[in-house]
Amino acid sequence: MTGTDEELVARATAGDLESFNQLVSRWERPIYALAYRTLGREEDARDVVQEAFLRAYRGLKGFKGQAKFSSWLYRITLNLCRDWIRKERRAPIVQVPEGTDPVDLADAQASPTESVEELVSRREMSRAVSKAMAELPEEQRTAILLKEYHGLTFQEIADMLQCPLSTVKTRLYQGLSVLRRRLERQQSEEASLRRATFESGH
Amino acid sequence: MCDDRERLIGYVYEECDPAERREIEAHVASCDTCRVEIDGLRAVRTDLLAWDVPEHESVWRPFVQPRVTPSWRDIPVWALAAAASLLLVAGLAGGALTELLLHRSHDAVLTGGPVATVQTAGVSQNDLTELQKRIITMMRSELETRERVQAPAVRTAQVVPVSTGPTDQLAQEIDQIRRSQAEFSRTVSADMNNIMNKINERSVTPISFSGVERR
Repeated sequence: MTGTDEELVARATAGDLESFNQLVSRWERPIYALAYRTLGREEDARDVVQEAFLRAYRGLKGFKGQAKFSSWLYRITLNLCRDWIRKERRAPIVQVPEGTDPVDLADAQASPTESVEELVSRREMSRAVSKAMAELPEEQRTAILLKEYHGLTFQEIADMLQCPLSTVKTRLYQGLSVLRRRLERQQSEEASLRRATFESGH
Repeated sequence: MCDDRERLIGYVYEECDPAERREIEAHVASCDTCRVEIDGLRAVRTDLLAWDVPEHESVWRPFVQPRVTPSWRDIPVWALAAAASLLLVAGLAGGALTELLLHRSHDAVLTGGPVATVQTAGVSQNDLTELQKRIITMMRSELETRERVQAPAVRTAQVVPVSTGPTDQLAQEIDQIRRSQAEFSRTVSADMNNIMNKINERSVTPISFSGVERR
């Protein structure tokens, strides 16, 4: 038994638990991704995802369909992440598995179409992006997450964050500009390091 | 145009109307500053794609729909009475049959010697009589409780003189149910006494549904 989000929400509100399970399985990955990229740590993301769906279930009767179900879920998740960060009194974490060599990781995860060098490069970039994102102000980071990884429109983000459309665009522009400078600087530093390593070896 | 960052963002994310898009493209064609800016924004968007989320197992333990099982309180009194009666009859018949087969000799039956209390698998007739009394007490209590609950509805239906709608119908249905319950109880009781009589005819130890021994 499947259906649109709205149909599943209606059935779940009427007490059909299986419909709610379907909503969870449909939205768990994006919600986990949002929580992980906001908090930076897998175990925190898992806790937040679980709590987000429990809150959603408890609040189903109050959800009147004024927004998309997914937008409502995103908002619940972001609120939980914000509470989590405040409770922990810390900035988002850049998680790097201890003792993990990027090349080892690449061996385990290389896809058939991607060379090991490409995968290592992508993982380095992934880490650089997560580090740069973690340093952004929360408003800019949230706007970029919702736009880049979840494909929300400017208007949807504005509705979710309850701010004017122009504010969303400004946050996106400022956030992307800062990221661009930081990533360029990091890439430049890494290139210098590689060059120095190469020269010292010869 | 060069200072209007909102418009550039709309262009980069392709969220501007066609007319605005054409206007920006015309401007970018002649403005190096804006072209570099747009290329830089697009490049950083490409970099953002590299940020992976680790694979993870589902953190959600699915809800399970609770099975609807009726409470014994939801079972009508007549059904409880019938079930209890059947259990009692089965127990007594089993006891009497075992007594006949295992513990009494044919001679004792013929001479009508001293009558022993039925004792089968550790359950005596007294135990069964006690159990019977407890079941009857429990059923009476349940019946009285139900009557107390039903009574206000019946009275309400009776004191409203002009009511001919659902309330009267409800009262009639309740009366009908109570009559059915009484009739059923009488039938069960009669059937059980018949069964008891048949058992007693074949058993040395007379027993009866009422718990009084017959000689």
